Amino acid sequence: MGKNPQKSKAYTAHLVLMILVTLCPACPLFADQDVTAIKGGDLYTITSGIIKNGTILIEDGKISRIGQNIEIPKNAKVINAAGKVVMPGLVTATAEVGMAGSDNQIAESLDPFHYSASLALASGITSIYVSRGGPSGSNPIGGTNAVIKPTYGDLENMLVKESVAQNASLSSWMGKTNFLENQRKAHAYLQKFDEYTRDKDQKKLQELKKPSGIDEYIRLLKKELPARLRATTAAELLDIVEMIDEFDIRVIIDDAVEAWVVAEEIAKHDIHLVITPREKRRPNEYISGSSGSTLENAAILKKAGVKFAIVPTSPSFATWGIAGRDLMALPMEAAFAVSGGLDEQTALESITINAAEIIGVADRVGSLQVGKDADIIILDGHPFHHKTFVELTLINGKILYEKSKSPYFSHITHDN
Amino acid sequence: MKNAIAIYSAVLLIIVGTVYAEDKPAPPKYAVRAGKILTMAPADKSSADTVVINHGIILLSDGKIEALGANIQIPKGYKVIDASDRWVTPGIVEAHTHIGTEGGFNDMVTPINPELQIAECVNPEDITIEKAVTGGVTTIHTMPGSGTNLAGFSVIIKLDKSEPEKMILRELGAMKIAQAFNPERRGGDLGSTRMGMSWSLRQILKQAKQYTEAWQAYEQGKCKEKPEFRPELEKMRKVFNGEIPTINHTYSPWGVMQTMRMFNDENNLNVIPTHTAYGGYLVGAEAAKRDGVSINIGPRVVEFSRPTYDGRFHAMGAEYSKAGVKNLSINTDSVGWSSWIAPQEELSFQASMSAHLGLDDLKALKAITINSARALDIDDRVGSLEIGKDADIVIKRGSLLDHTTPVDLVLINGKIVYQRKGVTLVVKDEGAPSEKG
Repeated sequence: MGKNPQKSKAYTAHLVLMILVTLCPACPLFADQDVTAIKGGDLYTITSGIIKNGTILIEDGKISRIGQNIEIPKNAKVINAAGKVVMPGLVTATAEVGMAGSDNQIAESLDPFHYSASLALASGITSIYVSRGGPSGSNPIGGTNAVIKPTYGDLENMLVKESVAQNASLSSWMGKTNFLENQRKAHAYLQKFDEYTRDKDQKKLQELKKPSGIDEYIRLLKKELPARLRATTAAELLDIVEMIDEFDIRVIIDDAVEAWVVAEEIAKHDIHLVITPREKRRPNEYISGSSGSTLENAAILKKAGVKFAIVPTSPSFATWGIAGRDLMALPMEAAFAVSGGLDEQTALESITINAAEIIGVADRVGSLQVGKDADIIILDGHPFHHKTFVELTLINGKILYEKSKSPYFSHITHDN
Repeated sequence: MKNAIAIYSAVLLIIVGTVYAEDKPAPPKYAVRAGKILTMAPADKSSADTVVINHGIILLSDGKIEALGANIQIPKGYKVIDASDRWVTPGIVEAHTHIGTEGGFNDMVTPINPELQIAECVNPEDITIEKAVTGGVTTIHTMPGSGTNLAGFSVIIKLDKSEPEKMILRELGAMKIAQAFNPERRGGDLGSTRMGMSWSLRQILKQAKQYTEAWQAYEQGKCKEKPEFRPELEKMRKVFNGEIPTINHTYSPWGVMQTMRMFNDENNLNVIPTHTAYGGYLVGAEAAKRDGVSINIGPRVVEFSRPTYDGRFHAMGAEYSKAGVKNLSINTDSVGWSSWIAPQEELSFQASMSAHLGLDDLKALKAITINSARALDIDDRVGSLEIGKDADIVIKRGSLLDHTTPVDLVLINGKIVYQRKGVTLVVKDEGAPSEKG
């Protein structure tokens, strides 16, 4: 024995108090501390216009309120964005970046400390489509893909969604033949499956066997995932249009340089595109119709009603001296589409909400809307102005980049 | 008799003149009514500022700028180009590119090629020329590559391909030298190290200098004996006579310094160190000290961290400017239209990116107009909007640095060479300005 129960009680109380104090920031009494407010900026919501001198409240990593004249809770952490542009973090529908490793399971190989995650934050890019592997040889479907966030140093929040599309290729004769054959098999199976489930008891049907190797095709036919293909010329694009005529599937096409030539067809089949306005392709002298690249590609597609995302000529983070052609200047690529006649709103959508929709994460990112992830960037000017810098980048409500505190660009000022 | 010949000649002249005029009608005279004129020229020599004229008029005749200012009446007989809601700037001048030629890149047999010139390789039908014009580029300095130490001589051309025979502004643009990295060719001959390359270059410079001095002495009567004619050194005489500069592919602080020492200090030549990346700006103050040195940057315009290892993006333009370099110019080093690095029509975008990274906007604009013209010693013809200069003009809705607005109209030598589809800016055949604009 020898223990003083009185003393022991006091000791316990003391311990409880200490634990409480330690946990304080997280306890409900201090809940307001978890609110972040961005106030005073022009909010480019993307989906509902520009709110001048607006306020955004962020709670639990999500946008909880947005608008003018919003009362800011007393203990909220306030970010003053007066005179700045506030917009959703940029979304890139393609990227070749090291942070997604080389493993076929993207979730298993994410590298939150890769420099490209850090540069993405400095560039205002908060959602990134990455893919690994791909169709090879006679197999027209292959590889894997995912949407990730460049949460530098934080593995937990990096992966947004795995398998957002079915990477496919119809570019080789073998590939195309196999694709169509498998698609037909899958189509026939699905039809039989419907019959079987309907009539199996009545007609005492034999158990239906699923042919091997058609799972991916079934997913496409059920529209669970879109097929993601590459097609550059009008002829290649029409090939895919023809395929959709036979099989009603969702399709995303990369590198659609000559899409402007067949814009109406693409619109009619609701194909989504990923384009690079400055990509160059010489006109084909051997054909009499239109061909080649044009800066007007995006504008013509918009007019026809096609949904597209814009990506730069080099979907990486370039540090070797060339400026304005990689993901660090994603808005500049969209600016060139504007010079080709595209309206500014659609150009902004092509690097935010439309890109998000195409890569299947528009429910979470791509616009400033209540309930969406608080992936927000603050800019010192219009996103399409050549002098504009990203000053602040938040992902899930957390500040992950501040220009003034990072060595990258903090020495660059435009007041000289 | 003399009179008869004179009359006869006069009649002949009239006949010839008439035939010529029928063949090639004189280009129309234009009056450009501008919202904003960025002349890229100072008011006078002592001033560094660029004259900006809001709501001005520029008169163009005989391929030249006849008059410009805010209070100019448009005379009868001038076609009016209505750019009253647009910016009017001089045509862009490219100081380092490889487009518009065919078979003029690298003659890799020997490292020293003072006999070669690219002027004969100009190909007006190269697609890059018409594309370049859509980006407002009107004059280019196009040159052999950097595979050999002395690659040959470049050419300066204007991008009006409608009269190919008139495209060449200067047949010998500059002497093209390559000093670091690319020319380390390891071809089994001298020059696989920088020691060897410097030795080879110094040898040829020495020979050409002596050759030039011998002819100078002979021509000035200081020496009676005619020097032996050496065709392979003839072009280099123009360099040593100070008529044309050298343009030197060079990199790193060592390389830029070596270029300035060998060419400017030792041989008193006007030199354009070009590329100058990998930390070349660290000797920017040395470049600023030398009047005969004009720094030309690109296609790289930014350095990340190296060689300072400070984790920063250093804008080459801003760094050279901070070091005091005055005649800074920016290039694309374009090697072809489909090259994704920097196509010729995006020279103004190279300037925009330099401005983004910290170079003053006006300095960035000078770097693709008057400064590149000055580096090449063609600023009496192009690079700014001044009376008497070539009527090379770019019209668009915003600054050349703004890339949401396309180029609407381009004139070269007073002739419209490009007008964007759907744009009609030529509003009248005759003068008599309308007040509405």
